[in-house]
Amino acid sequence: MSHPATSHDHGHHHGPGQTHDHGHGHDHGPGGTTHTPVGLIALAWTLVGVPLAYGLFQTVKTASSLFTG
Amino acid sequence: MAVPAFLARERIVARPGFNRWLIPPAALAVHLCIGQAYATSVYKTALVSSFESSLTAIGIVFSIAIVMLGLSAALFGTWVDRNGPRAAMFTSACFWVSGFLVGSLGIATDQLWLLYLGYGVIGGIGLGIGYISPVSTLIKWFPDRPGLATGMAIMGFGGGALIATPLSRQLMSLYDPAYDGTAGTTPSGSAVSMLFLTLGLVYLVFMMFGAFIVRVPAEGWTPDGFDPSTIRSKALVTTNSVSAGNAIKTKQFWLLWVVLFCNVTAGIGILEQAAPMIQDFFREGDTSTVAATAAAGFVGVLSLFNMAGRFVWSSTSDFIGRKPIYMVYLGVGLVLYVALATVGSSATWLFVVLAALILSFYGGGFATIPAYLRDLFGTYQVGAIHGRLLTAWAAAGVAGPLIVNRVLDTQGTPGELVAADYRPALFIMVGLLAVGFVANLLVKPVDSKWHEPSTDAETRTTPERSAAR
Repeated sequence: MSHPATSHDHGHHHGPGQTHDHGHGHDHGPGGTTHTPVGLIALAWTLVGVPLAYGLFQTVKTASSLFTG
Repeated sequence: MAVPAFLARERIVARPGFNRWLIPPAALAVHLCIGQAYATSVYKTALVSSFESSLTAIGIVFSIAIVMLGLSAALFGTWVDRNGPRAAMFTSACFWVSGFLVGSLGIATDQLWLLYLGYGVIGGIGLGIGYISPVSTLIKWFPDRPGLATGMAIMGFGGGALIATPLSRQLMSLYDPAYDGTAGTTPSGSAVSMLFLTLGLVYLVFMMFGAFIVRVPAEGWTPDGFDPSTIRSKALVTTNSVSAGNAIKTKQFWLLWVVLFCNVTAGIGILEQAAPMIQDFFREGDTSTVAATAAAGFVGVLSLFNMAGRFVWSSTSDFIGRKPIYMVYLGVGLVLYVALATVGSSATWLFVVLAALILSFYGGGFATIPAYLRDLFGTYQVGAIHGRLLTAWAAAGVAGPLIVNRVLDTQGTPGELVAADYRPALFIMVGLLAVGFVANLLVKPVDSKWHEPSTDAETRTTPERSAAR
């Protein structure tokens, strides 16, 4: 899987690029550009990754009984 | 139907420089929550005992939810595409959480109809809207890897059950100390009621987080280094647009409906009966060589492969194409099903490998379909088209268990069945997979008469954005 925070992923615009990001947690630069903090991306992935890891761990534990039980 | 300003699509158009890798966790935040729908078996017995009802009466709750999923995805798909992912995720959260709260009240007050209304009808609407809410947004953010993007989100739906099952067990043992999560003990109704309350509140926070961080790409945005002409040159992939209303008039839509229906029905054929099936396949006289705990482990293995298949196969489709990957799901799946029916009972490891691969194709079929729709109909109303196609899931959810249960009923009594008794059901699934395989082979590019007049799909997708400028 590609790395979640490479500069390659910010993309570019072909058309008239007036945009309206009213979000929070983004640093707004000059000319209406934004920079998504790496910490926010890490936090978001952690928030979904931790429960998923818990579920995977518990399921692998259950599944292992197929080979041991 | 207008939405409040803070939910409006034009409020969440990303500025240049926004990192698209914030979108998959937003989608996962929703799908990990609604994936709980596949963890209902964990409290099923408790509800039967609490309502002094039957397994069938309680099982209806899940059936209503899946039927409502299909109906709401089909009915609200256009609304979701028009108003954007934040409005859809927010609405989905409201319905899904309300479903848990009403369901909790129903269990606490011993009124089964409230559980039907809450978890089944209200929650089912949340399921449908939530399931399709991030799909078209992900496809637009990842035009270079749509299979990977939708695979990640729909993998989350499989992951939701993996989280909810052990979490529910732990929470119920917390609310009812007499219940320790092992076979033979059943949690009380009040413990399930408290579980519903807790899950509802936790899901509210998670889903609102997803709705809060999600963004749509600005008009004309493409990722750096992405050349749309490379997509255009692939067979079956269009850069034109077909509306949801026109899509359902095309042969391609209904061929994909048949493909999804056959693939899902075949997967459910195993999922529905997984634990008793492995025990029956290795039955010697009155006892099985596979213990109940090992059978539970088998269900766990299937869940893992179901989830992994969603991500792995859907991502693979970005490289080998959507039509070829469905030839694998349906064609190789068919061969695996024949092997399961004929030689599956010769060794436990062989049975497990065959079933696990079939389940990985089942998951892959779910995750790859949005990208297939994007290829054929463009991005214009792909969410709405996906929503309409999910009626195939609802139909398969009814047909799959019906086929398996009906056939097994004619073969003998549960607890006494052997491998040979499963063969008629398995060969029906083989036939269904053959039908799906042929349907997939018949898929051709959509006739240009169905294309929207303008090829600038983005302009029509977000009229509010133009108005705001």
